[in-house]
Amino acid sequence: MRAVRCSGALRAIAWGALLACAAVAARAEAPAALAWIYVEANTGSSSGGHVALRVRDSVYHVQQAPDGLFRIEREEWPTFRYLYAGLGNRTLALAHLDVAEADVERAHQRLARAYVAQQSERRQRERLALDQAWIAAWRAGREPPPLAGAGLLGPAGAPDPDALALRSAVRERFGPSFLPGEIARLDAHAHGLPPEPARGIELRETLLLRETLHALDEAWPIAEAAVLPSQGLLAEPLDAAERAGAARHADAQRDAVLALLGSSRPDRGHALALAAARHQALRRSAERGVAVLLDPYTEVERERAGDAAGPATWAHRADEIAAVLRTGRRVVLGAKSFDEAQYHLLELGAGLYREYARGAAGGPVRKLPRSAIPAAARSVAFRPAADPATLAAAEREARRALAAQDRRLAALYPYGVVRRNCVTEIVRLLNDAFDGEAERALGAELEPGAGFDFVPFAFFGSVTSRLRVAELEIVPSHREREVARVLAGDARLPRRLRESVTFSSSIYTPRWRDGSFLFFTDDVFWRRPLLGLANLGFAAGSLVPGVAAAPFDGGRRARAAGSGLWYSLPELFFFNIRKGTFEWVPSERDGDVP
Amino acid sequence: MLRRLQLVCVLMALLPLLGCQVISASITSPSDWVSGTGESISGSLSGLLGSSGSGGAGTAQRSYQRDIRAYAAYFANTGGSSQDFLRGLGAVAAEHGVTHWESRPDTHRAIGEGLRDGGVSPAELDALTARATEADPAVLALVREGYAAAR
Repeated sequence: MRAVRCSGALRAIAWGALLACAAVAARAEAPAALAWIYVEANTGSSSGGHVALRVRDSVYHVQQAPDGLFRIEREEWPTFRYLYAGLGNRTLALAHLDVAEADVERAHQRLARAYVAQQSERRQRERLALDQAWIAAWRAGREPPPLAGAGLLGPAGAPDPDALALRSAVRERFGPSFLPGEIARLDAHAHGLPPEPARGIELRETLLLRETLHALDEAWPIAEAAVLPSQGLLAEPLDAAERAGAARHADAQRDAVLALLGSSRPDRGHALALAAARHQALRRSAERGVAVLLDPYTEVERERAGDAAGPATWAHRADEIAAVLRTGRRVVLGAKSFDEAQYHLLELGAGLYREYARGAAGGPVRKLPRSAIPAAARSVAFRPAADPATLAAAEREARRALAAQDRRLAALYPYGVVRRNCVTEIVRLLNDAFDGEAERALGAELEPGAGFDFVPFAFFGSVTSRLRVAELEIVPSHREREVARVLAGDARLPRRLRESVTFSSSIYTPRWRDGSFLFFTDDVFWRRPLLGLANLGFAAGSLVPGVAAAPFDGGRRARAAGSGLWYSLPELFFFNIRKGTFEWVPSERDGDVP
Repeated sequence: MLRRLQLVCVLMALLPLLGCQVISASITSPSDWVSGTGESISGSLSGLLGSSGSGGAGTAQRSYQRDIRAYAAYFANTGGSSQDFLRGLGAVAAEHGVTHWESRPDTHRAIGEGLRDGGVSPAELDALTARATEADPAVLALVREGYAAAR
């Protein structure tokens, strides 16, 4: 990736002293080790800007969650850049620090530990909520919530031929009575467990393992709902090498099933069900000559996106990921040995492709996460032999445990706009990584939230003035890059005027979420108040028809006009927040950032 | 002085907006969210080809090892039963698309490294491994190897 350097750059005017004060050292093309990132403001929730820390190719940052807590997020650098500089159209400034390699690793370990710890604490809450939900269902006489992973294999229809072959392998390795014996043992264990919240996870694990062993013993096929439909990309034929690879990997999954049957880890039920289901999926891929993949997103709820992109955008995305998937499929299936993480990427990519294709056809698109192991759920009937009073006491205990965990989370991760925000928490973690040696490692120890340093912009000033900054790098926003590209071909006044107005720009398409505005003011300075005044007038003029249209458009135009008014005000005083955003921009993975 | 005054004015005007990024708003709007997911997965798949991107197999493996190590260190500090440890380990591995983590030697090495990070002494490690009578000696050797190699 090429970056604009601060020296001599027009950006230095906008960034003022921040950029002017920094040293620009020649840096090799090696990947960045440790860099503070300042994300320029834009409309939306972080109008004061945002701060993140890049450690090698990972970016750690803190966001405010809807529950009032802060959440540590981690993205790969290209994804972060794509989201913020691309779709979010915000310029990024990176202050690369002069840090020893061992200190970079210390910082990375500390941040990873904080991230993993928070994930563990949140999972504990989910587990306690599930404990309570199961007991509440028993009390109400309802079926307990569906068991994640139990729906990968289904009892419908005749035994599957590949599952029968797998069962033979299990019987050969463990003996014919192994599966029935284990099922009976697990059944007895489940019924012997007291209905206590503390034993809830053990019960669910036992039931899932029992169901999976049932599936193996009765050679259940993959459940139809657990497989991605063979349409579009997934209907394309595999070549001979891919089919041979699928057969080879199916054997590896058979071996994984045999290994997991000998495992004693408590959560092996899901891994076992998944390996058995993948064994069938890969066998089918080899036999049918098309990719049969499990759906990793069966349990993600369908919610209509409030700012849903248009079909053309989803079609773009479907095309993009289809191209990558075709190539990735050859690599993953053609590999000599099965790599679970890589194979899982195919499942995720295919799941996303299906979602994008649905959006391209005008359907709703769900918020699909980066991490999602196939875990199709199924209700498994189970009711403990307990009287109502015991269940009532158990539910009270479950509620207490859940409330205690909520209090723990609130104590550990409280968000505060001044004292516990995106700046302060990452600073705390970085200081903690060096345990009193931050000055030696970084050049100075920044105090979390000291003075105005809780404000991202002010904090970045402290970074550049106090830490050992080796280089400042500017990653321009998408529009800025595109304007530079367009004007390189035609820099005449009419073209400049056209690109400076939202409605005539060849780069930008107005979006309701950006608010009503007429002129871009992020790339001008002295004219900003004048253009801001024009934007203010335009937004005020949009308000009347917006209010009139409110009964018909749900207030969308009126809200856009209100936002337009609000974000025009700082422009009157030379400050720019609003820059516009994009529904789609091309991927920047291939180093095509100018 | 002028710059500070300017900052105070801006702060007063923008205080209601100064919150950091809010999840499920703005940049994490549903369509941006799923677009970011696609970008990340595409990057990882592209990385398999070794051509570009951050998601190469080596990067993914290092990230996996780092998280396993971090989890082991976290658990060594917070404590819990061995069953809790294994459940947590499974959840961390699953975040990286790995469910059969026992089959990966790097998992066991990373556990050893994490135990050292978490302040487990050599004597405590000896005691832990001595109690694991049913464990595969090769696995225990990998844990010890990781412990010894941790810096």
